[in-house]
Amino acid sequence: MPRTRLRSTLRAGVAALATIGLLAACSANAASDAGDAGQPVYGGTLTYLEHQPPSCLYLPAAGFYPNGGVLNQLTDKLTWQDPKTLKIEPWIAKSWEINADATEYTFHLRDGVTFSDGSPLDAETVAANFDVYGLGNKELKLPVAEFVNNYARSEVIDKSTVKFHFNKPSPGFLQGTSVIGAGLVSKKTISLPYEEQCQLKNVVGSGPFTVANQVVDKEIDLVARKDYSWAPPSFAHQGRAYLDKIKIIVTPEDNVRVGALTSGQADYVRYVQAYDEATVKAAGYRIYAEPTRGVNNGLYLRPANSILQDVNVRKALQAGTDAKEVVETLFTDSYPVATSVLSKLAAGYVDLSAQLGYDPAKANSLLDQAGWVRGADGIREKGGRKLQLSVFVSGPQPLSKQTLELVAQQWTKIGVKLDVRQADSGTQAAALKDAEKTPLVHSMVGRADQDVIKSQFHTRNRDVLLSNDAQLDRLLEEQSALVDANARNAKVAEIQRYVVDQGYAIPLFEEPQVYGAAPYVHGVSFEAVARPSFYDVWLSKKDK
Amino acid sequence: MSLLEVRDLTVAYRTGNQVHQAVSGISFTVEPGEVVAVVGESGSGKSTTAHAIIGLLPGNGSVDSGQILLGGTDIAGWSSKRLESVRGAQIGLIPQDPTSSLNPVKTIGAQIGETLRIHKRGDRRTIARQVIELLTRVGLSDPEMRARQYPHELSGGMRQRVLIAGAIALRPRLIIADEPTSALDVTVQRRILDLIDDLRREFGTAVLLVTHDLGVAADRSDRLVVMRNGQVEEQGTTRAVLAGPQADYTRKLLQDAPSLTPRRFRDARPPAHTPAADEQPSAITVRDLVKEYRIGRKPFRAVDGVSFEVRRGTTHALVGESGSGKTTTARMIVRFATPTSGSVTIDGTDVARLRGEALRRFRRRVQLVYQNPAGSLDPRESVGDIVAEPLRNFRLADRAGRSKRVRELLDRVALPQAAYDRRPRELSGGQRQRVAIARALAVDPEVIVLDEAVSALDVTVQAQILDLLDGLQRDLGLTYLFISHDLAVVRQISDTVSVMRKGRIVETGTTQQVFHAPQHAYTGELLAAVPGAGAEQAA
Amino acid sequence: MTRYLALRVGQAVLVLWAAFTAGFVLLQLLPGDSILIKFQNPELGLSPDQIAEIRRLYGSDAPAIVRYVHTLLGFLHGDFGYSIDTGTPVLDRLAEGLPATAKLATLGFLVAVLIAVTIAFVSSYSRFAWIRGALLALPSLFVSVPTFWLGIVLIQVFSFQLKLVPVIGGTGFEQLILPVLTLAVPISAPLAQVLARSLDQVQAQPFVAVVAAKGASQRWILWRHVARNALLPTLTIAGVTFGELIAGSVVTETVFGRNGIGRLTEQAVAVQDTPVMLAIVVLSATVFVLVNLVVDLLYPVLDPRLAAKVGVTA
Repeated sequence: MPRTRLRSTLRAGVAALATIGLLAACSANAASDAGDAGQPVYGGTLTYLEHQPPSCLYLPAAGFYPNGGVLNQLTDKLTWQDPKTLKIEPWIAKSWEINADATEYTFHLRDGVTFSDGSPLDAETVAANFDVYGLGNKELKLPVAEFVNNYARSEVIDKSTVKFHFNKPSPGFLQGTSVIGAGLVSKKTISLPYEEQCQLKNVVGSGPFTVANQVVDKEIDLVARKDYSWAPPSFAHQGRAYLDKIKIIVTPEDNVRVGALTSGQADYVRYVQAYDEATVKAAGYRIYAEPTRGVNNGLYLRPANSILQDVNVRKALQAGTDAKEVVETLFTDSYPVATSVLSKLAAGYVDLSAQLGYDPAKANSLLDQAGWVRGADGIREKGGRKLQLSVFVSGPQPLSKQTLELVAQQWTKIGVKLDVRQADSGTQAAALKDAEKTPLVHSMVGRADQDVIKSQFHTRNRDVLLSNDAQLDRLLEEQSALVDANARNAKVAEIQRYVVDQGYAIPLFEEPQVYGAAPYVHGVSFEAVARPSFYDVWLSKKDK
Repeated sequence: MSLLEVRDLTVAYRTGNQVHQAVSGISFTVEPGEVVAVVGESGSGKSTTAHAIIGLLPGNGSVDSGQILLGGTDIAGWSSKRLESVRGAQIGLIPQDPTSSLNPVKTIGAQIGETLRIHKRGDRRTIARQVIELLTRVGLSDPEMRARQYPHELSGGMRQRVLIAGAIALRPRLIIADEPTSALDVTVQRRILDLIDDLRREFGTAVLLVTHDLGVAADRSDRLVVMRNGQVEEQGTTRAVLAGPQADYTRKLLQDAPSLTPRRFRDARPPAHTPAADEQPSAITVRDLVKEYRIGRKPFRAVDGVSFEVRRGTTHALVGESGSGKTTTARMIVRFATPTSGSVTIDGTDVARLRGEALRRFRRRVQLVYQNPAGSLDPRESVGDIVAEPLRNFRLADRAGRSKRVRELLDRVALPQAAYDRRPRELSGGQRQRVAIARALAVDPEVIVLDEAVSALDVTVQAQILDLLDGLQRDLGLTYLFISHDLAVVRQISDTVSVMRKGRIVETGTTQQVFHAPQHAYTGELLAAVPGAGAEQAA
Repeated sequence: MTRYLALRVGQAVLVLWAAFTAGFVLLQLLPGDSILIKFQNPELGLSPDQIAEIRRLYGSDAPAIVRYVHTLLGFLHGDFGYSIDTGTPVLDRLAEGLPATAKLATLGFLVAVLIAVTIAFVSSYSRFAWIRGALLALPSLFVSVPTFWLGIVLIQVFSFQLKLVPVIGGTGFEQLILPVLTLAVPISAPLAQVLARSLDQVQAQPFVAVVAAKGASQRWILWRHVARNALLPTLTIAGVTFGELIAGSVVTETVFGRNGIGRLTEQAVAVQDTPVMLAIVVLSATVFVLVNLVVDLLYPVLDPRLAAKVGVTA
């Protein structure tokens, strides 16, 4: 079978693999079940290997990828974002209205939805959820959610109608209701203090699976909810999940995870390193490289740094970085070279590959102009100061150390010294807010909304640049307030251009989440930012 | 038929490719009920012979040829496994060092009863009863309690009795006693040897007595086998050998053995006539010296009011058994220990009050020579460096001067110049002790404290060292404080003697007085216990 | 004896207090803190004001001495605070991890002893020099094998290639085989060396010859005399080895994806989860103190000479 078809499928594009939704369902099946004709079967246990144990599971704080495998199965959201079209579709909310300036959202809820503890998922519960997500709760130490902006209050219209009010236009809110952090939990859960909400045993959702057993740091067993009947209406598959049980086993060692998969001890694993992809494929297993549709993996240069305050220096570093070489040397086809600040699949993406080409000559002349002259050791100097910068290896980014070391090599060609430092998280955290100690950072953000660019750059969000650029903030705020999708996309494109023109970003590649699965695992699907959904998964191997 | 006949026995040790023949074709017999003493100096092969008989040679040793006939059966070629039925049952062993020859973590009773259990003689209760009988038989009081005690709770003599009890448990026909008393005090030694004699008479057991001490052999054996360099020099009845030694070596051995051939007492030396001596005739004056230790709550007086005087240029001996306080006294005199009370005056200086530079200067004048030269010489340094060490410490002379002085000193102690570059392990025991003496002499001391300085040496070597010390004293006008348990040696070297017991001096006098007319009963007991004393009288 | 015990327990309490204090001070000295790491995490997108607010909520803006006293009082009442990373009470996290680690460590230690005893005895009693040489070379080989590497190799060979034992799933017993071996092998090395050396030393003791002269067989000598005497120095090393057991469990649990104190340590260190780290420091110190107390109390049982000394101090 299927080797060639599989490969062609992969070549057809990663997006196709991830599709879900009414229209996309057929193509999704066609993609992931390549060559396996046959009806989905119910039953079986899926063994899923996770790289790290889940951290705190308070939903707005639970974006950490290892949480995704658990939380997406336990909770439902008001809306469903089609990962291919990025369109927002009904789920728990069967319909909604938004006022013209996007300051009022009214959601009409589906009837008969219950949490796994039997309590109803009604307007009051939804209001309670979003009051916490939008405003936080100091008494319970609950922080606000990144995906809710300008939230004012909720209003329960009736048992199945809830309305949210905003102080300022909040066009990103609708998408925000579809993200993992907007998972709906029971009223009891949402009224617990932070420490309690962090714990898996307290997370009560309405999702297709419930927690059967947990061995902290080691294993989580999920079982299907037999009475589940509120999948997004656009899904072909309705009713309960196909699987009976999912064993999520934490396996930190990369080669143990891969070895367990290829030796048949596991069915499905997250985080296959680039250098293991070939091994997995060679063993006849499948690689799913899922795009994260957000701000690309790249280096972010901080204008507040005394060397990087000069736009010419930043532009020079941008021109002196060969992203293509990075990808070709260290990664695989699963990691497309970045062509802009945002992923090709992100809303509002604009192709800036012309501006981002590798051009060491340009880099050298820009640095010459900026007054940095090569010293005896080849490193440029200016006023007795060496053109030397340091960067921390970033734990969450794949092969961050190797990536940075390669970039450092590239930079020596233009007379810039980059010290790649490996430090514990405490040291990094302490230095993060100081542009002199942390002149640049290696990072990315995944979120399938235009607001993702604001998340990364705005001074009141992640503020990765430690920006002192008022214009950038203004642009980001304008974008955030635009209600019309086209106008918003245009603004996002403008911001991308601005960030690249200012030399704030050196995009490297579009970071995927890479999964491996056995050939008998079907219906593999993901949400918009590459977290797995097991609702559709079924196993053709009987003994599983 | 002899009980034991050793015929042309050859034993060799192999280390790597080197073969060292320790025993070369020796023959002798042991008749039932007889005591045969195998005598020789260290390296003579006497212990190897004993071990070969019982089949307990170290891993690299083997019987290369010859026969060991036990009751007519040759057991020389037997495997260790096969010998198990012989060991303990037919041949018993009384080992050399009672301190390390008992398992420290097992009770006395268990270790004696073990011989019975190994050979499956009787059930638990019978064995327990027999253990008590055996303990009683070897003269231990309160045997029930002893059986429950551990070795560390017993004295050396008691432990040797325990070992004897283990060896005789099955009434073997032959007992091999390998230096059974050399680690014991003389009075204890005598009692142990008496015990072995008694048991032999009672059970008719033959004894193969291996010893370096001709005195012991003379007192206790029926026949003598004199060994040297792995060969038998001479054998015969003890009486005949002592009366008319045939081999030169035997003669020399007899001559050097202090207990068998007492040299004349020293002539009472006239006091040296030097200005210093006239002014201060006494080199060492010890007054009411006390050293108290605390063990738990109750104080223990190791030295309890000791007083004596040593005249310049003479030798004073401190004699006593272990625990008598003689070594503690010596340590206080050289200021390695501080007295609890009392005074030590050397050449008019109160030693106890010395501090800092004065103490350093004092160390030059008083030197100490230990019993075990191997332990006190750094194995990594050359002899030249060792002897020069005090010169370096006191910054006397430059490099060339030191070298010259060391060579002089080597001459003084009659060491060959070639020894200069050797390491201690390349020297014999006697040579090592000469190095230690040369080192002590390096800084021209006035007083030398000799702590059992010749006790570990073979008799012939011992005699040489004693001669050396004597000569040095005459030439250099040295004062010696001679600490020893060996009365026979003391008798040769010292002018005056103090006999110590339990921290006190029981008797002081000239050597002649003390040896010929002991005033104290304990002194008498000590003198009577000296092995060879009987032989001397007999001879 | 009771006075001796009281003395030792007093010492133990002092050691624990010192460990607590040293742990507290060192954790204070680390750059950054858990709250910063946790809440400055870009994924949360919190502003510095919000983080400051959280810090106030956690009481971590109080002066160090106040926090010290507060934490110490908490520890005395068995309240170790909350994990900042997961929000769980630290006590719960320890309670979840401890049984698994205790099982792993105990089995690991026992297997290590088994390996060590086998190597030591076989080498001491081997008739062929080359076997002896090879066996005695094993410990140095074992000790130089990094636990991490050993774990991976064992998994690759026994689980993935030979498919003898699963690492994922499998029964509780199956899940223990490889981790226990991984932990045991490096620890067995020093034990085997010390045991082999003391076996040799005891063999050379005169009393062994005396026992042989009584007609005892090799086996009799070995089991009734040599073994117990050789055990003493080994016991000392065994007490010290406990530290390696803790270090080894961190790696082993991570490689095998086992839950336990080692894993907890690794995670807590990664995010500087101060309350968890402090609790682990105190827990390790407690176990260390207990193990060494047991070892010290075992000495007199094994060696009557030491019983006398204990008696003297009492």
